[in-house]
Amino acid sequence: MGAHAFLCEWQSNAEVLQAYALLGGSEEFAIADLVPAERTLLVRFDGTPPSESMLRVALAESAVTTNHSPATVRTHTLSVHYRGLDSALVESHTSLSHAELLEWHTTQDWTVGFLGFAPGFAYLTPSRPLAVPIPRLASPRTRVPRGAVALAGHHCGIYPRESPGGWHIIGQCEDVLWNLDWQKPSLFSPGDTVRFRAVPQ
Amino acid sequence: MNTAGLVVLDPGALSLIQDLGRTGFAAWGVSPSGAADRGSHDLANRLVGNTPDAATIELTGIGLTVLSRGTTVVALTGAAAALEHTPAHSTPRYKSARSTIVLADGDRLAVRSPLHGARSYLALRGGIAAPLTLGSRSRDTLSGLGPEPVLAGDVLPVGTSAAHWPAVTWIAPSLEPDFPRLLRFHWGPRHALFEPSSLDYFHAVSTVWTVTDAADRVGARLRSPRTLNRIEYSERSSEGIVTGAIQVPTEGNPLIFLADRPVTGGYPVLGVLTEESIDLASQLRPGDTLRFRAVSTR
Repeated sequence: MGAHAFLCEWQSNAEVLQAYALLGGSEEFAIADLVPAERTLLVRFDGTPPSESMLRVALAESAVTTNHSPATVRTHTLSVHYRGLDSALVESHTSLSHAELLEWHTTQDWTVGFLGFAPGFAYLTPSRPLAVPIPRLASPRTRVPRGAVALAGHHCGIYPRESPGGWHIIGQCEDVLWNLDWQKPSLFSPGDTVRFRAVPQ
Repeated sequence: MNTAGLVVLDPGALSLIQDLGRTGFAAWGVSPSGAADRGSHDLANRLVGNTPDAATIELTGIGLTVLSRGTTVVALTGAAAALEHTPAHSTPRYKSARSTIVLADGDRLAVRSPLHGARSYLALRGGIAAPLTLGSRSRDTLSGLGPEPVLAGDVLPVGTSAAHWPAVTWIAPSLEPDFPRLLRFHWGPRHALFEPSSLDYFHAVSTVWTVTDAADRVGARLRSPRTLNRIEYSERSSEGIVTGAIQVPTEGNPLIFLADRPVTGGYPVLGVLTEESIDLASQLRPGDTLRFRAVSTR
């Protein structure tokens, strides 16, 4: 992709995260930035990149190193008030009761598949996806509050700062996800595990 | 303590503090940002003897007016803007851009509207002192990171990025730009998703693209008599992009991503501009025309 980057593609997000973890910990290449996404990893280099074959060799190592789980991967448990603006819409779309939706959301591990849209906005991938994807709002909201927990497609996301947004809001999280005073400004990193805990209204 | 600096009398249309941007935070959703025209930003720093990491002021449209507090050394590069230097208790004098200018305490410097080009860079010897956000002093207009846009009454203090005295203090102006501007690009990664006839049209010598009003630090949207068609239009998941990426949304009019681009894009990227062409693209105004020339085979 251009003279300084490669866009690498896999069949699954798990493979993307494995390659991200491998290259993130590698000092073999002068990497400026890594951008994991659903099926791709963008590798942007400082100056001249290595040859495609060198990068392929390095990434092939990632494929054989199973369960490559670097020490930086963490588990976060977040407290959520499940009283979102769009809870009723999501319940009718999925034919789940409020209790069933809450049970589905709080009793599984979510993986930070990648971040994007806005600084610190994580696309969380469920281990048990819903049968039907959640559509986006027909007209995005111009103002979604910080901490809004929302669904779109098969992903869950939490707005780290107030921003516009088109996802269905099902709850509100009080944990701080983004702080420029932290050495790494985002609570979440690609590959992290997230669990949700319902707190009473 | 160095109390010298520039007092902003009029910020002009849009004045932003910029340096080389933020590297290493893209995985957390933070774009590089930084000076849109890197070459001009770097040249301004060299004309005042700064280290490459120094921050300059990026001026868009009608320029700013500053008052020197203490003796300062400045230079203006980028868009072809004229300068007016008014020494204290004296009358205005024309000064050439692309040259090193010494301002005495109380001198005023006004940047006039450029004849062509979109962005000028005002460097201050020592750099503009401003707090670092994630390792950079750049204002990211998309995410709101970095110093707020410059306002009247702001004081821009001299930083600590002064190095050796500049080797040259004047650079000859380049030739007047020819329109349509020629932008060079590498194919890929997703050009194969487009109809071959659309790809031929995209970079044909006879195809002239025009910059629309949707042109800012995030990107420049283009149009031409025809749109670009894909072979198929299945939904695609977002993927990482780079500055200079030429993305084609479903309606078929390409968009060049510039410094404040998002980290990922949801539409296919047909090609990526070379570094020199990113600088040229950053200087295009609405209504300017351009052509594309491939530097790789497809």
